[in-house]
Amino acid sequence: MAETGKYPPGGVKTFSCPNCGGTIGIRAVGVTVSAVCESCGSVIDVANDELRIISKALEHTRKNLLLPLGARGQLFGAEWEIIGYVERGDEDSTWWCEYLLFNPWQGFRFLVESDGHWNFVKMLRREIVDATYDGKKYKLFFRDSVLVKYVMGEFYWRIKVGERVTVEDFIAPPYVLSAEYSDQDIIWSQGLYVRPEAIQAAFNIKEEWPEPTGIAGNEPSRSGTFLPRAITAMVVAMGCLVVFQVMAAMTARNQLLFDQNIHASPMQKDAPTTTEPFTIPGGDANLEITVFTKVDNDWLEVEAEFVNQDTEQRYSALETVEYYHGYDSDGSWSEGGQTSWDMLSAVPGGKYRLFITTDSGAIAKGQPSDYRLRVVRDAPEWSNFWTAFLFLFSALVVLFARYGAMEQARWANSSIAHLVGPPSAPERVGDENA
Amino acid sequence: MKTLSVYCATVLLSFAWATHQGYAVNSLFGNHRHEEPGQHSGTFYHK
Repeated sequence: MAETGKYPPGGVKTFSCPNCGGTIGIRAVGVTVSAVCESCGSVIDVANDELRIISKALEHTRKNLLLPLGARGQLFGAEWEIIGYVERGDEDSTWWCEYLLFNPWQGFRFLVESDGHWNFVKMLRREIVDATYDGKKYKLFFRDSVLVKYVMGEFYWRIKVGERVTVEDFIAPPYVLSAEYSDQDIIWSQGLYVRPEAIQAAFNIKEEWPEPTGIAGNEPSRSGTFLPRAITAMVVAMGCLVVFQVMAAMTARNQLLFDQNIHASPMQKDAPTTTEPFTIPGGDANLEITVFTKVDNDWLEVEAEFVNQDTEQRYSALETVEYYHGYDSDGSWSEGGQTSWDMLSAVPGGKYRLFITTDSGAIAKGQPSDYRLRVVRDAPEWSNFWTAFLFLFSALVVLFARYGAMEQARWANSSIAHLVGPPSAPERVGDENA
Repeated sequence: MKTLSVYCATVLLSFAWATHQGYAVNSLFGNHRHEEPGQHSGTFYHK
């Protein structure tokens, strides 16, 4: 072995490649087992002084990595140095890239990048049973055989290009549990989804990275994490709405202003009946107008016009009552009713006259029409309540729809989507990303 | 969450204000007419 340098703190120990004579740098001295020659791409066993070639590369090109070897960054409370890089996939394409991180006191971790999505991964020292870890059940998301396609740097195991293992990923966003099955054993690891911006900030990367594509298996759903709090907020808002409405209904004056049976003769057609002046007390409030009549296969139309005697402002409502019924080949049918109800908004108080104009099918035939007209001031009102309720409820529907759309997109990327059930309900998680 | 809180507060305040002022959403769907002095009425829009 030709040792060409010392290993100062934070420095690199270097060796000569037994294949090409190029320089091999070792950062994690004492724990690194294999290292890749930057010149020829051969993987060298550096566990002992006899530098043995594990595998020779047919061709080797240095790649520009998103995180360069040797870069240091602060992540999850420790400083990590990037010492190794692995690409995995199948024969045709690369599925993900693994950056091996090293800290002398913490050991090793991985940053795994796939389609622009990142995970901070640590190895687990215990056996995982039934895809449950720390009391959390994970769902199978991915299962396939993967190939080591490209390596750079150094590793704490004997890595080999072309090595094939079976990998299973189980998800419980923002976490992923991965099982790597080889001939010898099963290696379990847990990954935590980390936003790319956090990685760039940690390693002081200024270059722009490609935007993440699609939805990662364990990418936390913003709607999903937000949903439990949103539901709570909505329940509180709806509770307030109910309280407001009950108070409004209880304090409504519900004052009867006019209630008369009216006999409209054909002679009065187009000539309004006028009431004596009467006072509508108080400020702005609604007016509820109801017409009751016994029309039978006929119609009745009543225009009620309130004319303010002082300001001459006019507020009119046109009530139409229609009731038709009969028999046909499908049996009996009916449409309409014998009551019509309406409301005028924000009619100010004051002295008013009511002008009533009546028309009906009976009047058109020269017969009189009878009906009852009732006017109530400041009646309890429910349409505002239901409108506000609808606005609150629709916001909740939009949130659920966004959550559902993201889950659908997530599971569309699963390699075993057809084997597992629908996504579970959202679970609140803290912001554990760096 | 802030957007949602603002949205909920806006809905509740609009509801409280409209109800207090005597406005009713269902009056938007009726056959109504309001005329200021000097205006001459047109005809009602028939349902």
